[in-house]
Amino acid sequence: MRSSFTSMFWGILLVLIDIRIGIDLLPDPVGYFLISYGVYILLEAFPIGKKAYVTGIALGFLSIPSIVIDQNSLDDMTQPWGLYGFILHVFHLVLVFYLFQLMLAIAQTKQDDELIANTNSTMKFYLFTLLVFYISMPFAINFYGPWIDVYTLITTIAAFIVEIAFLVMLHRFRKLDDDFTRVDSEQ
Amino acid sequence: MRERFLWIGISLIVLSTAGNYLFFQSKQLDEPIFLKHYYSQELESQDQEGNIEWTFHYLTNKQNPKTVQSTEVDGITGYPAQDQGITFWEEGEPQINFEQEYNHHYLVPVTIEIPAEQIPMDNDSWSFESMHVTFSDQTDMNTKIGKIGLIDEAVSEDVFESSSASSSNDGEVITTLNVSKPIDVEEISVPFSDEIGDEMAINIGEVNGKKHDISEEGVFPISFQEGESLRIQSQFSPNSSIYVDVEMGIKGETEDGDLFTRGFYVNDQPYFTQKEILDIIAEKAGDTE
Repeated sequence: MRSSFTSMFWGILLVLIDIRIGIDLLPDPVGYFLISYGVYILLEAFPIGKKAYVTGIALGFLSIPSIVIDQNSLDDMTQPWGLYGFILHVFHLVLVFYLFQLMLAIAQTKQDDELIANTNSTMKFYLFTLLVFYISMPFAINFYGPWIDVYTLITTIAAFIVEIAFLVMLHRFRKLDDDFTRVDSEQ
Repeated sequence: MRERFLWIGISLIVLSTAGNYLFFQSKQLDEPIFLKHYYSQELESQDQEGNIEWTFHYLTNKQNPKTVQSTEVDGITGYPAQDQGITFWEEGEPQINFEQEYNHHYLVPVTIEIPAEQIPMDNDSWSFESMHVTFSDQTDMNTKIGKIGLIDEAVSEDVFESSSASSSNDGEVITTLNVSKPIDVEEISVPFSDEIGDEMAINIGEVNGKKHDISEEGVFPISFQEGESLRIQSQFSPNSSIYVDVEMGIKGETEDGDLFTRGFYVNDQPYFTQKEILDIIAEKAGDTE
């Protein structure tokens, strides 16, 4: 359990943080393959992780161009690479959803009610916030004005908080031991 | 069960993206739109060695905005003046120096220089209504520009001692002239009066006396005595959509029967809201159909 979630933790960190000097020194594809590796370790015990695994691998390949594209192009949704960047973000949301599904399944075998409740609420918080964000973001290409700056500020902060919450959850799962009773699978 | 919620959300994202893209594309201009300019000035003899400058304004898309490389009128090529104010550089490319920003467009000024000596002054004047513009990306267009004119320097009896001018933010320009001999003012000449007359109201009078609206019947001639201060107030409509920079003229006769003419400058810059920009674009689209 520990090595799985350590892998996922660092994988997510690599994806979220980009240090660009010519190229992205913390490449996103590496991050995604790390996440998939972490899931892979648990696949036998938790087949529900298959979707997360596949999505992670797909994102690993899909995000390869992001190593060399500069941040400005990725952020500008009116340009082709901006649309690509946005698609990556949406796919990433799907991946995190599947990771949460896996984490819920693990929490259920631990029969730890508090953990289950926390994972559930973090999941809802994450999903809701980013769905609202991504549905509203395309509207920004059609407007100009001071409230666009306010919107950008609020959504950037919200996205940041949400990612931190997810990382904290991953870190909690790292601390779980492998001593669990497998629940009869009903997936 | 909750997975369905995710996919509903994703579909909404796709809908929002597609819808907004379509809307965005529908707002892009095929080519820039030049606004209407009415400029008129005297060509003084010393100007023959230098350049004449005019500042034109056009709307261009925020996405891949166009910059003017050169213009051509009557075979004379004009180029943008070199020091066009601050140019911002970002990522190694010059950013557009715009005057105003809207949802999808920029309002961009460009100051064009033409060597004065190349101007063909037939009958002591020259004017044009359209010009050919070439942009930095090698696209080009012919466009109406309003009316731009030059007239020869007028020589006349000097009947005014000193003058001052002021203008305010709400489109008011005041010119004050001190009268040095008794005169009868017979006319205020307004260049392009058919086109710009609707956008302005002009009145004239002694500084502390009665104001006469020159558009009224029977206003002229108006007499002024030596030592009086003649005041001309030009008021532009706040909804004006044209750029004006013209030299108007006061014309009349002195006590001794000599004719005089004196020029004074009046200018006005329009301000456009987002809605007015959309109206201009719609109007232009209507024109080309």
